[in-house]
Amino acid sequence: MVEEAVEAKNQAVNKSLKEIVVETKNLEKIYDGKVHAVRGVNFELFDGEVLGFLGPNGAGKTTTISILLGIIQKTKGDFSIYGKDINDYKTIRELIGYTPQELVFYDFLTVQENAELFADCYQIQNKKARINELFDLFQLTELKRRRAEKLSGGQKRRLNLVLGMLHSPKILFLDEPSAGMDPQSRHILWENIERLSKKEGISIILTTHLMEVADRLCDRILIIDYGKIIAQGTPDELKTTYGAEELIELIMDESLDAKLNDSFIVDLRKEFSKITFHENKIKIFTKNGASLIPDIIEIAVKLDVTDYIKSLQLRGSTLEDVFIGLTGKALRE
Amino acid sequence: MSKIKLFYSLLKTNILSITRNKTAFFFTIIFPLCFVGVFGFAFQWSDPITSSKTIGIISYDTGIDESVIAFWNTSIVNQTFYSEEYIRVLDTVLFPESNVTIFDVHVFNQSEHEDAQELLESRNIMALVTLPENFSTGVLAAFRSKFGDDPILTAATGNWSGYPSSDFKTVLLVEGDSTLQDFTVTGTIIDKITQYFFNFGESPVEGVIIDVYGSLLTSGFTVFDFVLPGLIVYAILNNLGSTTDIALSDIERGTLKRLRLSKVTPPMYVFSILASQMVIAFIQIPITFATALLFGFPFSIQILYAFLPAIFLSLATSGMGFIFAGVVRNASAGRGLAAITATPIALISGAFFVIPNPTVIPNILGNSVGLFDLLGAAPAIRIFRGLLLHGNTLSNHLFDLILLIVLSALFLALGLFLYSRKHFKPE
Repeated sequence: MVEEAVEAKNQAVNKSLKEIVVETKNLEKIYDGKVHAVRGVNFELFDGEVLGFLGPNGAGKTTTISILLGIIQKTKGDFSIYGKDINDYKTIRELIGYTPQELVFYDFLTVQENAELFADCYQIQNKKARINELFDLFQLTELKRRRAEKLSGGQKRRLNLVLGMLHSPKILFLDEPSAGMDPQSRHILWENIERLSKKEGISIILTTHLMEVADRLCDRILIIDYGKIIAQGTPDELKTTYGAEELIELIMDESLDAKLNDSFIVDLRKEFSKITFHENKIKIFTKNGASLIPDIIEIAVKLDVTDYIKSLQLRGSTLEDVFIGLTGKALRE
Repeated sequence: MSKIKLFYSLLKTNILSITRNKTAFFFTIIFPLCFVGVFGFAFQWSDPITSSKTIGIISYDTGIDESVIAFWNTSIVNQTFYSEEYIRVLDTVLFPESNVTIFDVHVFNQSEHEDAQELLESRNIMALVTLPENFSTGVLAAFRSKFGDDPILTAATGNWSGYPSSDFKTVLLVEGDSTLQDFTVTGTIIDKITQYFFNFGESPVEGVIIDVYGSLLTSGFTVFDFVLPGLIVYAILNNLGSTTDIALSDIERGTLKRLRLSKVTPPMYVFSILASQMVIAFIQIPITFATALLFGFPFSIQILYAFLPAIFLSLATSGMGFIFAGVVRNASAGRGLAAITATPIALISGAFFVIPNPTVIPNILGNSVGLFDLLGAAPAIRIFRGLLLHGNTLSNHLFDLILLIVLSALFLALGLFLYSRKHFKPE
């Protein structure tokens, strides 16, 4: 039933969008004949679209991207980029840019030297202008004479991103591009990626663990787990289709005795079927949240934990709720 | 044009990876200079080698027919046995600015050949020179080869018809223990004197001293002088670590993946590493040599010839580096393996002193190949020693040069095969 619903959504989305620039058909990757990293992945990326890959660590996101980049060989299935298959790799590589989740550049070179090297590697004609443009955009101009090893974590991330965009790719693969960045740097980074992708008409495949970023930036999202796409659609569609209608979130005081806390959760579980507990947050997914709040209070009073409830909130579900609901795992960076 | 620019960028990056990395810079540039400094300081002020070397000579020379040399109207008309003059020269050659003869010559009868061999084996004599039956004929042939059918001489002597052909060659046998440094020196001096003798110098005794000893050194011969060519080779061998390091760091860092997504092709990437190692070798030669000059090593213009074998030694070393990079698990293992390999290779190749080198190919183009020659460094050391100590040119070391080229090609082929099989193919 779920698969049929996903397929129907896909078709609806596909109709409203433009040219297909990346297409995969039953893509599979099995390592050493044992580890099934990607299992029959099918998706399309449309021209100018930002497509998010969400999934827990080890779900197969990076493997899928690596197959498309030609870094890893597929075991089965097919894919095409702008209608070209992997045999036409020379054409493909000029169209794609890649920012890996690791910081991939030469530590001993300066920021400018790194950019010039990779610009030469792509044989960019007007490299100085392009480097300056990206340095200005990602605030690296002041740092261009500094050795890469001396940059802060956020500055290194920005350099990592710039190196993948130097040759003005048509498709950009961003694999956790903001991992380890502080909120301010992350904000600048995403704002600029959004601006540049619109200005240059870049289609983006993005993997991230940041739900709010995916929600804001992605036109469509694929949720991957155990190498399979388990859900896809626009953020709103996913929330509507897979999210609970309402969510009751309780934040418990950290001074609450662990045993008492466990008893509280056990009693809640007797009443409500879908509960998650992470750190000091209890989330209850339900269809009629407002009517159930007195029941929750009653249980709290019975166990004498009302003083330990820091907050109780009733809200609509988020992408993270959808994700947790589907995968049963909390996302982590 | 943009491909050249791309190649230059990769080359520059590889060189900077060494010059901006303190450890790599130390091992490729500073460490060999420290060796030069230590050897130079320890040995340069030691006494030059001025003690006479004991050598034996057995002559089987049957002389030259009187009727043949009768055409020659010079003072040597009556001197039938040129071997006698040759032995006299060897016996009287002096160290420069000294009354000490270079050789203490023992002449053996033909019946004493076995005794001479025993003395050689017991190292009571350092070298045994055997003059063949046709030694005198060879001298006349060399005379004709050098002077040709000179019209003045022809007028004076009548004609040249009785002379042996100028193509005629005689072969002297110089035997000794090639693992001994003393034999290497002794053999070289005998070779030089023999060349001089067959070249008809105007003043044999004086001339030989200048020619032979002057080409070795201007002011004596020390252990440091003997070791220096080996130290230059050792410096280049130390690049083994940097090749392995560059090739494996690019994988660990992920930069190879990133480069391969661009227009960088595997051959271009590999060649940029090889070229960077050649550039480093070209830097190592002059700075090592210049440091040696500070410690009194005599300047020799022959150092210019050293750049050609250095290219192939560098390629052989890089080939080994790629072999390591193709078999080890990670960069630190590769670096460790390279670090513990370079010095033993230099040692068994005779960079610091000559050690026994068991023969594995007894005769190939008239030369033998030792087991340790197969590592590539030993032929390079012989070439460098010949150039810097004996004033030779590359033509004197053609076999070693060819051997070095062949070995560098083999190491490179194997290294690139192993490396590309492991790292260039998609996972």
